[in-house]
Amino acid sequence: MKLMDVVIPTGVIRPGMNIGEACRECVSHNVGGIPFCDSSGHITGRFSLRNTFRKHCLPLDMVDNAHLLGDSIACETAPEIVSGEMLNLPVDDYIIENVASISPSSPVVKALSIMEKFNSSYIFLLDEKQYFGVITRMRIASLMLNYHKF
Amino acid sequence: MSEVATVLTTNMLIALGIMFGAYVLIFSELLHRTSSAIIGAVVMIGVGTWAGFYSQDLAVQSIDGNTVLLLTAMMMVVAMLRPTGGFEYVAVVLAKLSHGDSRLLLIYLSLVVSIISMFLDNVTTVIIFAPITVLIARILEVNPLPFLMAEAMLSNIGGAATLVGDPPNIMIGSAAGIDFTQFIMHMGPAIAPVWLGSVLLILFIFRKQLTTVNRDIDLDEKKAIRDSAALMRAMFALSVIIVLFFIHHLLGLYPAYVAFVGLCIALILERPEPGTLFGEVNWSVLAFFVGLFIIVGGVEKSGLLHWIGLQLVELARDPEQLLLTGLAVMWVAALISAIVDNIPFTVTVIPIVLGLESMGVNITPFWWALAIGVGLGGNGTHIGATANLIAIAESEKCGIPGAAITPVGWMKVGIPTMLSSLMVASVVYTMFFQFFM
Repeated sequence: MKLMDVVIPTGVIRPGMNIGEACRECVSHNVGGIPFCDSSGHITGRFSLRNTFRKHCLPLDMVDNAHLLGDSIACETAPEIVSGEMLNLPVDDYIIENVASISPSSPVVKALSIMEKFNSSYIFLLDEKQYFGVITRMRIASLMLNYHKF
Repeated sequence: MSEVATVLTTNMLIALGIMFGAYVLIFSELLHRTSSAIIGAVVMIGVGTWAGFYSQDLAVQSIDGNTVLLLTAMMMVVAMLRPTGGFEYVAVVLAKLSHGDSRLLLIYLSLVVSIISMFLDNVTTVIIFAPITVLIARILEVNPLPFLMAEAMLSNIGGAATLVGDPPNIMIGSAAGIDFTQFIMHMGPAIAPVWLGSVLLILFIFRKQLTTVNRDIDLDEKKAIRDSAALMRAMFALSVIIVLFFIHHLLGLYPAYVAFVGLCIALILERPEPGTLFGEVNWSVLAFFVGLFIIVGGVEKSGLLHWIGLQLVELARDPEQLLLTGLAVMWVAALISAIVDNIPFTVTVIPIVLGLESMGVNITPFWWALAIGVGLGGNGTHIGATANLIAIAESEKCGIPGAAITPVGWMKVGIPTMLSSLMVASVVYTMFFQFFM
């Protein structure tokens, strides 16, 4: 199995785009994050759905005590009642600088190892400065099932 | 060594200069305080050896093993108790008992935090209770600020009541040979009215924010306990420690040894994963204490602290002035502890007080005055106690509008609380001065 077989080609986020556009790109490709390119086209960070939710509507006290939360809990920070204005916010403030990437010649196990180390469900496939797309565990598992005709 | 010098010597000035430099580094936070203490200790040993007033052997002897080991053992016991979820369980149960009455909630949370802080490190207590407090406030849609401030301040006050509640108390008890029971018998009657007065004052200051809200606290306390068997085992070990604390003097045991007996029970019953257990111990704090002991040991061996004692002895020796001197010690210790870390201050003052004893002064009332002062002074400013900083950090990161505690905001509540606490403590100290002697 080669990484180019499992890559999911996606667009990238550029300065000035909003969270709604970034979310749509992630949702349409079923990935947890996509790269952020600066004005010169270099990848300088990433947009992550997990990070955006955490930063915008998941306070740490709630996460720390998530196991205690009841089913009828509601408060002003709950995602379902967050104002839709969140989607219009510029994406720039939600960019994470550390980017986990791998080259197309790397083995799949290396991609899985890096995802494990970074506690991430995805990794970017880069060759030098060319961006090919996103590798996800889901996609690797899907190809594995097809490969073994399971 | 120049311990008997009655005039200032070069060695004294050298030692003073090193200690001053180290304390400037510590208080300015140019470096982490532990790094500053380690650097200060190494310089003190090196220069002291070269100058002839200090040595490596004397430096090792100056470390108060009882204090360092007691803290180590208690940190390990807490490391086993904390993940069980017992503290969160108590917080949720109390929140539900308050039935949406913010004032009751504040009293309940403050009371439990104070009681826990009497036996466990108050910083750990606030670290555990602050997030669950914010969550409860969030659900009730009330501002968590009064609760966070009350928890920090009352954990500081609760910790002042016992020998093991606050590191300065451990140091004072260790130096003065005061046992756990003696400590709580003297400090308890002083701290109880202080606690009550502080709660009433905080309730008054925040009276507009502490309302009754008609909302259910949708938190399941049963899910808080992650491992009930582990909780029972850790509680058993802690109970053994607390019982032994009350009788350690009768058995001729150091508090540190008692804590290690309980720790052994917990280790046998719990069999914790070593990496997790030792990772939870705050080695930085322990190294900070060791560094401070070595620095102050050098100053003591230079004879400077003895010299300071000589300057104070006339005032302290006069029986007519003993009460006044005790009150002065209490207030000065409190005011200094409000603006600088009370631990370096306590470590420095202890040898001076001990020196006065050798000059024929009855120093017993000074120990209690010092313990009260350093214990209550920390509430005055946001930097007065580490628990305050934890509460502030939690208030800032919770993101609730109006919840962030500013330094000025802290002082608006902290200074009146500190002053009223000191006044109440001074009245008790004066009324029962014979008892404190």
